[in-house]
Amino acid sequence: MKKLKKALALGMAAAMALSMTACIGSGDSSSGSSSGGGEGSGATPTDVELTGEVNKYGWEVPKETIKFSYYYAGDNTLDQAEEDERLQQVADVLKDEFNVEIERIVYKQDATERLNLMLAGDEYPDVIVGMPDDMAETFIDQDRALELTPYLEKYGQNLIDGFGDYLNLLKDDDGNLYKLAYSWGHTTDVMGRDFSIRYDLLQEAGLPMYDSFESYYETVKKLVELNPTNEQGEKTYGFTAFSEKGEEFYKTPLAYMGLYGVSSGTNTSGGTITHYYKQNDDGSITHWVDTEEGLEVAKYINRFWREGLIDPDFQTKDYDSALAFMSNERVVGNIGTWWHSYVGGHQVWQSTEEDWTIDKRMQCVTFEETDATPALISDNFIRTTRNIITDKCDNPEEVMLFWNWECTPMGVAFTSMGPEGEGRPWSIDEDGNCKVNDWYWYGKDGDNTFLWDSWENEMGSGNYWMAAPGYTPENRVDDPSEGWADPVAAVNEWDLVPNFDEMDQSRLAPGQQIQKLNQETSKAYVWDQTLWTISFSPDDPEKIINQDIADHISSAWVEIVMADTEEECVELFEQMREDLHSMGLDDLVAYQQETLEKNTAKFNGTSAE
Amino acid sequence: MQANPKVRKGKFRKRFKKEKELWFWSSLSIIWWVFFFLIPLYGILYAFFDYVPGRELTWDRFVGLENFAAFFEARDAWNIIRNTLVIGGLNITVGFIAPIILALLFDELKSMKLKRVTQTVSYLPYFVSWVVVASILNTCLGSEGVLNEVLIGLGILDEPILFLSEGEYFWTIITVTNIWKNVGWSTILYMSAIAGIDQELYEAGAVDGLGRWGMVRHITLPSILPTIVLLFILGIGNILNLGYEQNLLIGQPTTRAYWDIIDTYVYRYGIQMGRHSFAIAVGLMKSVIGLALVFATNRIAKKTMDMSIF
Repeated sequence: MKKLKKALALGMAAAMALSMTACIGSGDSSSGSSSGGGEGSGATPTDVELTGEVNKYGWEVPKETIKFSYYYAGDNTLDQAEEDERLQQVADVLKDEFNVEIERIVYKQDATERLNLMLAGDEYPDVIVGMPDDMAETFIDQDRALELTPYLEKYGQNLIDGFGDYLNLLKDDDGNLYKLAYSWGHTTDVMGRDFSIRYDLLQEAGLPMYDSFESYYETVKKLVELNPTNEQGEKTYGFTAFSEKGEEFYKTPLAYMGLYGVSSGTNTSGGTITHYYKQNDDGSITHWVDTEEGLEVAKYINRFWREGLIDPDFQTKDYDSALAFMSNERVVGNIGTWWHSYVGGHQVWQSTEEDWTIDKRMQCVTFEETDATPALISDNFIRTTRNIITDKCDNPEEVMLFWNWECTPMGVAFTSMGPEGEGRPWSIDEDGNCKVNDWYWYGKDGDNTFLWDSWENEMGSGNYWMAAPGYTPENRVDDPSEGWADPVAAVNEWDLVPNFDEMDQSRLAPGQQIQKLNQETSKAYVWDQTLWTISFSPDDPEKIINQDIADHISSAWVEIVMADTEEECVELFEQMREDLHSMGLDDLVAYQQETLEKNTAKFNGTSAE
Repeated sequence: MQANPKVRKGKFRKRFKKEKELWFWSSLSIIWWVFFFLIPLYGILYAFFDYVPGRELTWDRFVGLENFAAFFEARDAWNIIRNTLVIGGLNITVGFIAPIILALLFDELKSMKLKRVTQTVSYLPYFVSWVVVASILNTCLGSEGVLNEVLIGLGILDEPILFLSEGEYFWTIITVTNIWKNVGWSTILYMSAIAGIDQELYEAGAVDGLGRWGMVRHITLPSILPTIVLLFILGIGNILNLGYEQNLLIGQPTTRAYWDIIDTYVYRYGIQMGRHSFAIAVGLMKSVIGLALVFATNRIAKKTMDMSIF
């Protein structure tokens, strides 16, 4: 038996030693790939041979079938078989009318994990779309992404025009462009973070609409006093938290006070925003915990808590439970993202209550109290994810040609709503403009819920979407509806915004009516935070500081909200400030300031060598 | 004196021939083990390098113990270690005893039908996901939860306690939840050990005047002691492997000081930040400590009880 053990131990040791030896190389640490950006860099694009025939979508059909594959890294919930089935109708049209065959690859796996596996195995497709910025940088660093400038210059004029100067931000320090932004553009959404109130209760109480921080507090307090319980006898509150564990309680008021929200790592609009800054007159920035506004917001929110106006379980609420809390009429208001109260409010009541009227809704109303310009919607033109053409791609010219077409109004319509037709959401009118079909605006046979609920499932969306703008391109800011017939106000991959005034008012769905009302009262204070975009490499010490600070704020803030007295609230706030400084907040602010200055110079084209 | 190699070879061949069926069936699991456990062990090397996927692992990326040091230099390192040891310690003490007690209680049930039903019901929580468990806890322990309603109803409390939001309750909640989830499932091995006890021992015990408690104390417990020791030794190796899912789901911002453990820390600062080598280093450190604990416990058990797993 001892001998057997010895033999086994020897075998194990040998196997390990062999695998270790195989694992460690002795050369330099360059990638194992044979070719890369170096080869692509400065490459002369070949001509794509075209037939001269332009199809109804404005695409000039190529002689040879354009074929390429891409991995869509933007969603880790998609099933390949389901995606193939969903896209079949679009794939058929692409093949028959475009002479294009695209293989779209998806995985039910975290994108970073999958991309790392691709790197480790040196196996990845021609194109990667919607990848995190740091992963795009890893591909570029290993010469696995092609330099796009020559292809853009030859075939990507729409992209060049659409990105404008923002393209500079995607270039490296040498002026080379290896990545493009995914879902790029200026936001067209007119609402963002806001305060909202139960409009029917306000009417019943005969109270005026709030128009300041103070009057919002008084209104919420009064409505809770008048409606202490819901119909089931459950206690009501002013508001609860959605998925941000109460951080929305400071983000929204700070946004009103003109403090700017920048996320950890790269920033997002509406995503996980963890840092707010005040930009001073001299251009310097101050973290929100070091501002008077920050302390004022803490005291303001703490008042709601001390009056019992905040759901005591707000910390444990997730998105779904908060929605249910709202639709069960446990809150009279909301401080946070506007559509939370839209979805949790009338969308539920409309379908569950026979006698529902449009007055029973959560109404968003923006007020102006301070001199500061509010920043209710964070607009980030280049967003957070990237597209690259990899060194595996044999036909980057053809990929760029297709991407360029995606940026046309027809391309946007096709990639967001599928092929045109009277039975489909959109069609092409006699002037060659895209138009949204009447039934799609107003519903089929009176069923006007289709517009909002079933578009994606039944008609498809994100149809091979790679380079089309997610929001309004720079060159269409003045006319976001270019190429579209009325009443379209703006179209992009995410939004189909109508001009409600140009629509048949008698046929508007309740949801459309409420959107219209919200648009009238909730103002579009868009703040372009693109230049504030911050990226950390894994080794940056600021990355650790950033995480430490995000963690600490999330804990300390909730304690501040839940303080029993104002004195305790102030003490806790000051303690948080002190703790954050001891963690390296000053270094993080300096890093953000430096990034802002670097990005500004890059944007202005003054930093490229 | 060395044995003759020819004789040794002959012995091995003879033995192999005798056990060939056993070797045949074991070979599949040995191959599986080699490919999926032994060979991937080379991954521990990454703990000593600055690893970037796609790059070759070369000596110029060797960083020695830097990744290990980074963990101890972390701002909350000692708090995280404390939480891990406390929660792991509670699991290996309270959480370890609970299934033994439950198995003994099951054994006392005389009705086979009732025994089967209760046993089966006790297994069910094991299959409930942590997401669901967290949701159940929110419902039961919230300000309007069952527990608060009962305590207020009984006049014990005037105001509800926010059990999930106050750190001092976290260790109790997570330990009780772990027990609730795993206790039934963990009784399986003890139940099978109990089932293997010679019934004549109980008959002899009855003749000697042992009551139910006496039988448990003098017959059942000593008979299953080897199983208990075996499971304890194996369990102690996992004292630092608590998993991050439950803590992330049940923990709240205000209870972070009590729930942030090595696994949750590595998830946030290693996996989510793309610091692969750091995550591997901490994983390796946990494994080494776990292995040392297994050896130490095994040695203690061998010396004190003359029982060991190797």
